[in-house]
Amino acid sequence: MEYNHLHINNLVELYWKGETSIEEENKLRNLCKTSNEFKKEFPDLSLYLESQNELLDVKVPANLEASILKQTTKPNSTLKPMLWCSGIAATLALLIWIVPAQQNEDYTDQEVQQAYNETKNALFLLSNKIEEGNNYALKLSEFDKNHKKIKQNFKTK
Amino acid sequence: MKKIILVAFIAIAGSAYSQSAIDKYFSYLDADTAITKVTINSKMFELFTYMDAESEEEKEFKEAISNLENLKVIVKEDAPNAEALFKEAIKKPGKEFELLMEVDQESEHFYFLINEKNGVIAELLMIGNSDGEFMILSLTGEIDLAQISRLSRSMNIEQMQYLQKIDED
Repeated sequence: MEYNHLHINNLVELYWKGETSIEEENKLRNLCKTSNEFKKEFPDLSLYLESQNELLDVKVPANLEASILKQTTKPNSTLKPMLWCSGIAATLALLIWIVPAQQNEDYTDQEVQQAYNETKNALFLLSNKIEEGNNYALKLSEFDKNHKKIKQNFKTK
Repeated sequence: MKKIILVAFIAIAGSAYSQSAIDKYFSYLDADTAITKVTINSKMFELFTYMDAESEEEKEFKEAISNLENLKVIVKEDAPNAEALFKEAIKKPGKEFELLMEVDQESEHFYFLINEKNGVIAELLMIGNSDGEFMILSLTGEIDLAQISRLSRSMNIEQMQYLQKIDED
């Protein structure tokens, strides 16, 4: 291709002004690839067009769009049931925990006092019976000890 | 993650609905309308801690109940069938309960059973028949037998001091 300085200068001028057509821009890109003269005359533009060419040379895989679409529309089969389960569990846990707690807060002072007295009576009864049992056990062990002592004294005599 | 959520949920549900021996083994008595059932739950035990304790006996009592969770009592007064109820009841508790003590004297007969978990008494069960009165008492939580046993002593001392005071007056 013959290098027409005037024509190319005009093209470059139009390019910087942003007035070139797609064909004219392609022509400049081709010049950047093929003509050393162009590179020498317009080093900055050449560098820029080379980087542009590199970007345009990257080949997009044919199935890229389909694969992206597949990934974005794929139903999330593990996360959703998990979220449901944890949501239900949390709600039930709150119901089990909070509802009885709220009910308990309704006790009057009189009811608390009555419950306190009932608890006291029940525990004192329990305590008394345990003590009774313990006392019998103590008496029994004391009896056993004395019995052995008497037996030993009898033997020595 | 699923397992953690499930275990946490079971633990929460389990703690909320932990059954005492009365619920588990003596629900057949619910049909008897002459039976009185008293339940003191953990929230009530918590409320007891806010009450003023003036005397030593009260302080001792509050300390004894500080680690308790639930108290359930079943009583049938003036029960001609108390002996039969007692004999049936002592057969009911499961293998997790072992006999701690049996007090059998004249007109009363008491069974004390415990459910011990990792060296701690988690439940104490008392089944008794005394002068025609049948009763079951279940205590759950962290039970200190020595402390409960001491309660009657502190009560008796207090009563003796009270009687002494009357004599002096």
